[in-house]
Amino acid sequence: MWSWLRSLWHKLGSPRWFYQISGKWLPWLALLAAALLIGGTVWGLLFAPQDFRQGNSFRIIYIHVPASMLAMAGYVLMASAGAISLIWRMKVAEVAMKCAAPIGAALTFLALITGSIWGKPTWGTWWVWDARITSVLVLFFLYMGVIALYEAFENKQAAAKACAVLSLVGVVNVPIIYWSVEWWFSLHQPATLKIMGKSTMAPAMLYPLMIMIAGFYCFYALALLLAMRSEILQRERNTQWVRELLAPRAAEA
Amino acid sequence: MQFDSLTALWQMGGHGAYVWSAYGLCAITLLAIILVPLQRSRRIAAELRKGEQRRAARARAADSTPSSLKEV
Amino acid sequence: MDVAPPTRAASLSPVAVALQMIRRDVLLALRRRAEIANPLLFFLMICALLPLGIGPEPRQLAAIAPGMLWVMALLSCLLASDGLFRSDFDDGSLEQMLLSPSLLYILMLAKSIAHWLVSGLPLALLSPLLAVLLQLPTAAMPALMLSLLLGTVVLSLIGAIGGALTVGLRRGGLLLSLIALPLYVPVLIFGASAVQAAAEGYAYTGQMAALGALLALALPLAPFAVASAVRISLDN
Repeated sequence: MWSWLRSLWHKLGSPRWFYQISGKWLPWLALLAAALLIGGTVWGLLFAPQDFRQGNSFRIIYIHVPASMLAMAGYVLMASAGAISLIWRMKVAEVAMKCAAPIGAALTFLALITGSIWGKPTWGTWWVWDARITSVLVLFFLYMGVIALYEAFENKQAAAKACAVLSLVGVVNVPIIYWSVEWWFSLHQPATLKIMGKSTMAPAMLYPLMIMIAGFYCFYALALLLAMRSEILQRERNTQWVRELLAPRAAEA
Repeated sequence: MQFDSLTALWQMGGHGAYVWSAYGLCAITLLAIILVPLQRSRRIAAELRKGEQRRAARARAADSTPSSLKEV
Repeated sequence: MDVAPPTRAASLSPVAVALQMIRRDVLLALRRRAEIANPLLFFLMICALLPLGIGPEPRQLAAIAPGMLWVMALLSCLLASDGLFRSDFDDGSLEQMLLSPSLLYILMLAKSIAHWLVSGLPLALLSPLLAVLLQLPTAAMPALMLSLLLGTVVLSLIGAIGGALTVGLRRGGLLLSLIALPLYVPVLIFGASAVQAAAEGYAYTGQMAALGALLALALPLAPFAVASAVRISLDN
């Protein structure tokens, strides 16, 4: 078991091996993601009951909550990949970190927009400074900082290392920011303005949500693999294996 | 099914604009996240193929040149 | 520049090295008084901008003074952080520090503290005067000064991380703001809340404890990030 893990670890160091193995996983992942997302969406939009107070706008939960969860999880993944790339100098981890940033930022932005759209019929305004939305906004700033830092360096290896340091600093701060924003919100808004109360959701509402969350996770993995493959092709485009793969030698006349 | 007709589905009890714009934005975002790297990979492949074609053409031109005219 | 960074033999204890570094940085800053004065003048000016923006009505100003004073102090610290590594980077002393036998961690910790001594500390001490401009109730002045004293140390440490990451880059100052501002959020929340609570007559020990906790976390950990960042920026 350990030797298998160790050989896996060694193999992960090779972008080429990663490209080949991810190519095998890709179709299944795409199928799974599509099935979960489409199934969850249909269930949530058409079959799940509407909320007693919020009516049908409640259905936005099926995309807002998974997007915010993936936004958070994506940051942790980015920071972990950064840590691995710093400690073990693994190229694949560096690529994973670099690709995770724009995907996470896009999902964070989606979470903010859907949260805002949801807020309008529920509370009458396009923006409410509640604890969760504020934390997601700060998370968006953290993502943009990492992306901006990467773009600012000309030497891309230094860029990756700097972003690894920054995402590690950020990941330590994310729980602190989250708790301090929760505390700040509870201080200023004693009335519960929560979108989802602590009360349990009816199963008919919960199951499609769980399917959508699983679907979003699969989608994230799919998106990350696609982005990593593209980045690896870009970085290794002068190597033998990429040339053989994409531009096999034309038959000599 | 929670809705009696397609119009009811579209209207969503008055919240149709919100729900459908949110889901629409989500679909666009998710598609964009997938399509951008695919497009990039395709572009890299196309560039490499063009470079390979040029290289092969040059090799053929060099082969067809009679040896007396080849550069020493 | 005739004040060399401490690069002498490793026979010096870490504390001595740190003190020497602090002394060097403070002396340098004192010679370039503009470096100390500018963030303070900035603080003063933006505090003057507020009534110009929202009107001189004292109750209105007093209502938002706690939060605004903290936001403006934060922005002044951000401004000051930009210069933290720049001059050392430009004249090569930063590379000297990298090569010195002393731990980079100690040097970076010392630099951050020295920076706080000439930026955050004067800001905190001056804050009551500016609080008068914004009609902050006198009951809140001690809370303001105390929360700023603790909070600006954390802000200097965070600013040092951002400064180290961006020191070699063009337009590094703007990028520094992008990086540091989200990380400033917890400090701002607890600092402003402490002043707000004091202005309303409530106890603010909880907020101060939170600020203390943030400081206890930042002080030992931030210099690691600063040291890595300096190495990366110099390798660039």
